[in-house]
Amino acid sequence: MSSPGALICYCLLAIFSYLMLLITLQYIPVQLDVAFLLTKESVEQATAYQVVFFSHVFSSMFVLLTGFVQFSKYVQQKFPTLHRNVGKIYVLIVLLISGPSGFAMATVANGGWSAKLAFCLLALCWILFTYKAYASIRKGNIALHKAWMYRSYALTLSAVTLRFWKVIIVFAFEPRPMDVYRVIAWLGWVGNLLVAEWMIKKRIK
Amino acid sequence: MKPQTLLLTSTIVFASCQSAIKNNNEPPKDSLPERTSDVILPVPKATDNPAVDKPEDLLGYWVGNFEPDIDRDSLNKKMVYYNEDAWDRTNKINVSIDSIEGNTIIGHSVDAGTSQAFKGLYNFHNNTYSIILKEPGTNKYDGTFNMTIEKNAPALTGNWQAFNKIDIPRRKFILKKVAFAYNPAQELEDYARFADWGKWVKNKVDPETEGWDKSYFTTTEDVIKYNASNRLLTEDEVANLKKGDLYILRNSIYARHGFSFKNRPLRAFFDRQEWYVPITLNIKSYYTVLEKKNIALLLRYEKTARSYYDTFGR
Repeated sequence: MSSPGALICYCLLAIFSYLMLLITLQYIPVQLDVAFLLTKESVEQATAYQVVFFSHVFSSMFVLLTGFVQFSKYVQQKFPTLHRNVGKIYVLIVLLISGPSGFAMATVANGGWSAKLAFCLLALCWILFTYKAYASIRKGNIALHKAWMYRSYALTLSAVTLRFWKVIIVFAFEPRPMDVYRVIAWLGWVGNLLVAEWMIKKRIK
Repeated sequence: MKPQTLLLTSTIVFASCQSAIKNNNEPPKDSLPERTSDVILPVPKATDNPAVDKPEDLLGYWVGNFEPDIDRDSLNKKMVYYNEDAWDRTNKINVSIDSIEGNTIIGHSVDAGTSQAFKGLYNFHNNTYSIILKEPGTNKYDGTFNMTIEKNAPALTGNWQAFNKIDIPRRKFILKKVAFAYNPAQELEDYARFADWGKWVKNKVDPETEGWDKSYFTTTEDVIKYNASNRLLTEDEVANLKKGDLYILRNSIYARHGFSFKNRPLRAFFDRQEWYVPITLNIKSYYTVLEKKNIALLLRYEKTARSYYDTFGR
């Protein structure tokens, strides 16, 4: 934690991770009549959907938390084994659990074809970028690894930014709920990717 | 920043965040479908004549505005002002004349989510029926109705005087005989928007200022676009409705069945609907299968809208 900017980032990540944790805890013990599932009556009773939903909710929490260690230069240099192991966990969870379950849920997302398309693309890009990041570090290309990880984690953060945009939009315009959802389905991750690209340009030569 | 300070600040921030993911407020209790009483009110056997020719033509639901009949100044103090609108404490009342034996009239009134029995006498004199009806006096709000109707005239006019010193001790009314029939096709009329003025809250951004909890105001056209009594609403339709609209759509099911609302904002809203007649305090047994499904769906989305619409959660 060298610069004040980094400190602020970690604080924000801590606050929002805590909020995400609170959201996740709503589903413990496993409940079907709360929060998000209230709006999924058409599919919530299907066992397949439940499996997919809960594996997404519970696994994604860990994915988000890896951000605390993985971007730290200190950890990268002093504890490379830790970085490698946490990284493997990140890649495994995204590629095998969070990503595929996210995609499966995206195919039945609320908000019509536009929101479905947004969430499907998000899940596919997430899987692709994470795989690319893994593949590039296997080849020893650190710069490329960094770039793809920026993109991958930017999409991980869409869990946070999507909800953040929702609060902002509702506060400013008070639109109908599903109209908000259609907007944040795109805004929640495309914005993050743009920021990631900007950071890659600026930081990685 | 010292680690301790950081820890302290973050603890404070975290503690205040519980409400950031979810609102925990509950809807007004009497707007819930299971709340209603088990009392079954008598249904008068009304004649076809909308006016009163013979005494038995008095039988039936006599419905109209039950307006405060007090001086301007004291009324002004009791008015409820909300969102560029006002409620002058008028309730729609249903004076139901249930049976007539000789000169004795027995019946009950329904208004403001309560019902009270009355008993009285009528006289026919100078081509006019004069009626005096007394409530039993068991309730703080009991009183005496005093009214007249000319033979073959369309309306009963009169006033009501409370026995006790209450907020509004005297009211006046003009009542018309209404043949109530449940009509699932009855649409809401767009007179005025619903506003739940029951909640007065601090502004989220600027706690110095206060205002109505506008989240329960119906601000869109949606509320008059749908009818939850004659068509099964789809998830897609309901998912894109705001809290106030969902709330009114559901309560309009109760209104069509003649449910008398205790909740003031709901009462003020439905009383303005010309077709609305308060006839019952019990609606549980009246819902159609279709309405039951819509109520369940609407309640589900109301919960979502209430808890998550403007929060980080879900």
